[in-house]
Amino acid sequence: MRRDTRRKVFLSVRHALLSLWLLISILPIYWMVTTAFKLPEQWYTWPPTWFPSPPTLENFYVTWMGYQMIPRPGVVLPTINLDPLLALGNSVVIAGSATLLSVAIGLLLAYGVSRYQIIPEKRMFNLLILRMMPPIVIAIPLVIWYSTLRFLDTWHGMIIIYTITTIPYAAWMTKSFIDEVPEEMEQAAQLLGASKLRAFFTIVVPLIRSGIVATCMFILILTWSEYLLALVMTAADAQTMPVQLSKFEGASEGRLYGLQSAMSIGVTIPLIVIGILIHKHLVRGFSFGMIRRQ
Amino acid sequence: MGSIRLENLRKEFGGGVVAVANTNLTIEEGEFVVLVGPSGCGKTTTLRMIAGLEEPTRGDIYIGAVRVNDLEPGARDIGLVFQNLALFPHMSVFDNIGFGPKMKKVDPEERRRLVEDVARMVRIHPLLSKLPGQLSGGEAQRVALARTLITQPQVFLLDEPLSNLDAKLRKEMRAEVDRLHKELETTFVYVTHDQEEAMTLADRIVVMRDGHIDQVGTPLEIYHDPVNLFVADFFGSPPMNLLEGETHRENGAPSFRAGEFIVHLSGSVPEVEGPVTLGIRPEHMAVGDAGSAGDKDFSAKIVLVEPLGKDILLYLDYGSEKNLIAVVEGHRNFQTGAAVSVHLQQDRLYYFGADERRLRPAGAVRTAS
Repeated sequence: MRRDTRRKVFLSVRHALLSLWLLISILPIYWMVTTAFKLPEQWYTWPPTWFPSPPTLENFYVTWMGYQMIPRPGVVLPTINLDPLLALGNSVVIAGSATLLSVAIGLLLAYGVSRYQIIPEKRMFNLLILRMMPPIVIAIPLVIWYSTLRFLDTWHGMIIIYTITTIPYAAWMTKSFIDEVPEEMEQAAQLLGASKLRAFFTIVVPLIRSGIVATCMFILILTWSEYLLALVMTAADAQTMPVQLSKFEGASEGRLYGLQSAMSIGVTIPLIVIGILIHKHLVRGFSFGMIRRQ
Repeated sequence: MGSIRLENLRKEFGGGVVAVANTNLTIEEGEFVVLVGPSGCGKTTTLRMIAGLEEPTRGDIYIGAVRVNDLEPGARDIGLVFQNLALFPHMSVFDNIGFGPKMKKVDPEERRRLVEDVARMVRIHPLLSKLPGQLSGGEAQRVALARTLITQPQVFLLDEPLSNLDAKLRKEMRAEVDRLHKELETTFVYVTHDQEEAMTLADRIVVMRDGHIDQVGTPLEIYHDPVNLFVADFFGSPPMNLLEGETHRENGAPSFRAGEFIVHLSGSVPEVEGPVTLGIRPEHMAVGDAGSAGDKDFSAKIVLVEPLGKDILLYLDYGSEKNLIAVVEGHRNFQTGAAVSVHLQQDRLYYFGADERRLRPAGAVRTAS
């Protein structure tokens, strides 16, 4: 009985802590979603308005479809310049291309290290050290370079810099998956007449498919939400969603929480949808050990 | 076509480790050769060099009349069964077996026929739609064999293929491998560290140690006429009894002494004075009751009786730290602690010098070879 009681106490404490953590994690999201449906009068109220009454779609109309806000006494109409659809398109193209490129190059690099030691395994760590440098350090020199190359505020400029900065992660993640594929499997394929390239694509790639998908998701989240480099290296044409999101503050109108929230939802939803679509791969990819040793 | 010739084959790994040292070996077409030795003796490296998965540091490899050093593994017309089988876990058994023909662009209809034929041959026909993860150890083994068989290589290489199976299954698969060799009549090179597997399967055994070949011969030659202490000790279960001591001659009568322990030797004894190791196989010792009549070389005490059914193993204390093991018929009755008399078959004694080499009596002809 005593053991049983102890177990119950332990379980309830654990549940209490987890519930608290859940609350802490979910509160900002709850706040974002509800604020998106609030009228301007409720954005700043104290005590806070926990539930929008009446809920309105006005914020979505204004941010996403370019409508003017309904004039109200005491509320200054915002004069900010938004182009969320362009920014969304930019984000999709830049983050998407950079992710695919980064994972493709990272995968080849990881394969070379794992099978042919093109970089000694010990030196693989140096790749990560690259990432320990604060991005702000490279931001300014990069702007100078990019302006010479006329890469500023372009898709290819952003794709290149995002690809380069995420390759270390892609290589590290995919290498751990490749290491799990016994070399004998490729050798068996080669002995049966497959070329090295063919063995890579028919044996290694299908076996680590879940790992590759998980890596893509990870890199996509990184590039999708990157702010600093996007801020200094884009202006109008190639501006991405995170930069747009920072525009909701004006001198006269203050912070426009409702509009910002409405846009935030649009930024978040694509990632959530992709996450749900590939969730089977994510579970397998992140839990490793997917290849059963015989 | 399927003969293999290794000439001065050498493999060094980084750090000056010599895995295989200047090996010469000729394997005839259709022969079943087993490379055997303790782990790290270079047998797997030799096999992998034949397969083309390791590049020799020096030396030449010929398959048939062709020097294959510069050929890719896939171009050498060999098949290799890996120790861990290396089945492709994401492909069905059918696709695993059909992988070779697919790479050779055999059309799907023909491929299906080939796969079904070879699957029938190794009796896995009902399993074709399963994934490797759903197979038992023995079934996976058969799939690995089938995947290699289907390409009809002129040389079969098998790298400890049975080491992951339990004892009963291992025996069953051993017979299966033997049957396949007899059916196919191609060259088999089989690597194992299990002397029993080597004895039962091989036409010829190649005993390797530390990158060198110690002895090449038929199983019976290896068993009855080992060239050195290592080979003698490696083959046989229970192993050969080895007694360290010295030979002496008094008035021309040779004897073997190890401390207090003395055995008078008769028959042909090598002309050596000084330290020797005396070897006798457990089945070449006769054990009788202490008081019984008959030949007796020395007395001993039974420390342990291990009945195996057909035979009994007796562990005998003869006054040294190590016990002797003798095999006697299973119906006899022995008690632990009893004193017994032991007789050695003098013509079955082996003598090894301090350098572990076999010492032969002057003028003796090698018996079996």
